[in-house]
Amino acid sequence: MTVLPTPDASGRRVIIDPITRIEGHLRIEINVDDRNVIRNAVSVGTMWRGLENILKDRDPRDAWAFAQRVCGVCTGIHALASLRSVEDALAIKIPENANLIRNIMTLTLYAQDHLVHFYHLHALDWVDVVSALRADPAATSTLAQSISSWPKSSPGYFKDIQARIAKFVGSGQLGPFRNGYWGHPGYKLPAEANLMAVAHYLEALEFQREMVKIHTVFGGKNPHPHWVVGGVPSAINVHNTGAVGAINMERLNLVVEIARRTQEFITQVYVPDLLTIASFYKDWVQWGGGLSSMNLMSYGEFPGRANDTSNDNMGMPRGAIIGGDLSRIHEVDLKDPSHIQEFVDHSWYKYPDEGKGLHPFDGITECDFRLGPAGKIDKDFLTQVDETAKYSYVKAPRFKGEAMEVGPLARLVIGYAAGRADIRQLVDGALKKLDVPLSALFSTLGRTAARGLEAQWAADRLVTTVNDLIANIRNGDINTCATEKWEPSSWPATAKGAGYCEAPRGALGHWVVIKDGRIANYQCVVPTTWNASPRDAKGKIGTYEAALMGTPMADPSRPLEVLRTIHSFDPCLACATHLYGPDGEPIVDVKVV
Amino acid sequence: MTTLILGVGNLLWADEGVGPRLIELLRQRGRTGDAELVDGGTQGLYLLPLLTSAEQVVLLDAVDLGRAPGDIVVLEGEGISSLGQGRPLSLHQSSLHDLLAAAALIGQTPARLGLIGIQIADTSTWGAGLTPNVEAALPKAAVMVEQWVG
Repeated sequence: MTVLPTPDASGRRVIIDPITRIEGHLRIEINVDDRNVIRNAVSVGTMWRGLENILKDRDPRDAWAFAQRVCGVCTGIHALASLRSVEDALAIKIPENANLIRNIMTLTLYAQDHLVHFYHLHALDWVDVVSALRADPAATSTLAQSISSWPKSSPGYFKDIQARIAKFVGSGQLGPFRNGYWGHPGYKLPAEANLMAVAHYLEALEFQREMVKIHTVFGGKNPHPHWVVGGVPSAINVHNTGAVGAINMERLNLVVEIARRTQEFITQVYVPDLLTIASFYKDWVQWGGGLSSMNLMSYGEFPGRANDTSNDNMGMPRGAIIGGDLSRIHEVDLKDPSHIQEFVDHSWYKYPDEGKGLHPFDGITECDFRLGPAGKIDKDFLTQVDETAKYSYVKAPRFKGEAMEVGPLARLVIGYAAGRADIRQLVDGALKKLDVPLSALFSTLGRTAARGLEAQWAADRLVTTVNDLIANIRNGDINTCATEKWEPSSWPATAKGAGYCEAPRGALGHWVVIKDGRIANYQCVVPTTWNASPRDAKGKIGTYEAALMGTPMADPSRPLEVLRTIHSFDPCLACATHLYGPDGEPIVDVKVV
Repeated sequence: MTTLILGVGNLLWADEGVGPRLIELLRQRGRTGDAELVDGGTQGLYLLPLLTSAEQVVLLDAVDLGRAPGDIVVLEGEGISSLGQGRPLSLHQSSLHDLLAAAALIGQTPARLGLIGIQIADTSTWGAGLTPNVEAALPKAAVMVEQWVG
């Protein structure tokens, strides 16, 4: 087990605001020593999120619709966590078909989110687009054919792609390629690998358009599919009579086809690209590990049978690892008040008794914006935070008092430690190809690799889950929703429930307290709250903060290394927006003070 | 010609929700013919399938150009991306810009693309509705959308 170094804020301060290519708004402040190694890191969520207060006094059956608006991107998974919290509170049992369809929706989200994250939010940290313009298309073709049987790999194809990018950049449009640190010495890929990755960047843009059709089949519409407490809102009608929009064999066959193509794209494009890129960046197994070699947590996801949350029934197991001891998986109980608590000693919120954590059932979301003595504001603009005081709108959640890393790496390591054969095979295969030990996982590169491997796992399971659904329907079960407890008159006067989810980005919990048919309290602890957490009452640093410690930077004014590590977590603070003034503030501001 | 009217923004955040609110109003008025009306929320790149699904697309969004709250701006084609280059145009500047660029990169920019933006006043109050001037601008904005697609 590694021990985290103590933050040292004596060196030069570098402020990066905002971190680009993430959903939402995140600010990172670091101190570097005289050799430009990061010795202190501070993660600052700069926008307030008050979903909890909006939901008070509403009908719990409507909570999912508000919950899916809290985040612009992860809509479905918030809806699902909300439904599960209400179903848990009211002891509602959902039908098997509803469980299978919810799993299909979530598996599709995993595959799509991981794909989009890798190519469109993270790849440009490793792939130099400008260098791709200098690549030899014939050599690129040779490279592509050596790593995959994907058919789009001819010299002519890569030449066309190169011309398209050159034209795009030449026309003055930079779009997603602006704010890149092109030419930074940290870019190590040969020009041909850069061109191959850029080609697949474009193919992934095209392909992800197909994947969302699955959500439309089961959720009725996209981008905000319908959900319902007690099951899923889709009717099944395999004989092609009855309600318009019902799920029939034609639509199920469409889902089978998209699932198959998703599996193909991830197997033949995403994973080979990932392993090829990783092979040029093996030095990144040294950095960015942070808490991953110590504290990891997962709530478990993909129940095989409906209404059974026992760990054996979970496709991805539940559990926590503390202190790097992979031989012991701690049970995680969302309803045990000693397990999960949120602290606000360093967050811009107010508790009656600060220093004490609150379990989400008793959670309070009351804003309290105050800066410490070293904090500075210049006209409404936050110049610098003071991490010895309150400094973030993100609360500090802790599991048994420990900061935790959540996300694909946490899930795979917990699955690996639990001895799951499917996960072991996937992870061991990749480690062998890259010729690195298991400990390599605990790094920025390991985190990025884990996401790709999990996309593979999700695509494989998507195919089998769709088949399970079809088999269940063929057996005569067309039930999709339990309605016995729909009417509030059937509910107890008070009830409490916790909704677990593993979102693509990590552990997501919604907690609801229902009184007299209305929501009395509602709290969400989202994956990015765990990972972007500030310090806590005991001064323990958060997950991003820990991951940045010790990383050497080539040039602090072009903080590519910080982006690599922060992006490896796939941050999502999309519940936030950021307002720019009419004169146009700089889109990214890196200040070295 | 297939038409998509796409409102973007966060319904839970005061004037930020003006795009989706305008979609609701247009739906009630029922004067946009065969055009598809979609509340796109704040999904950024995930809206690409929608954006590239129609021959003409008009985006409805909150903008902050320092005008009087409720002022309406109509931009078309190049005007949208060029304004965005110099200074951020809307609250979703980066994601909307990336979305349009992504469509251009895969060669599927809609044949006709417009943006109808409404100058906002308040985007910081969680759970609040639209501010009065922005609310009052909705019917006028709806007529402009109907004319644009008409």
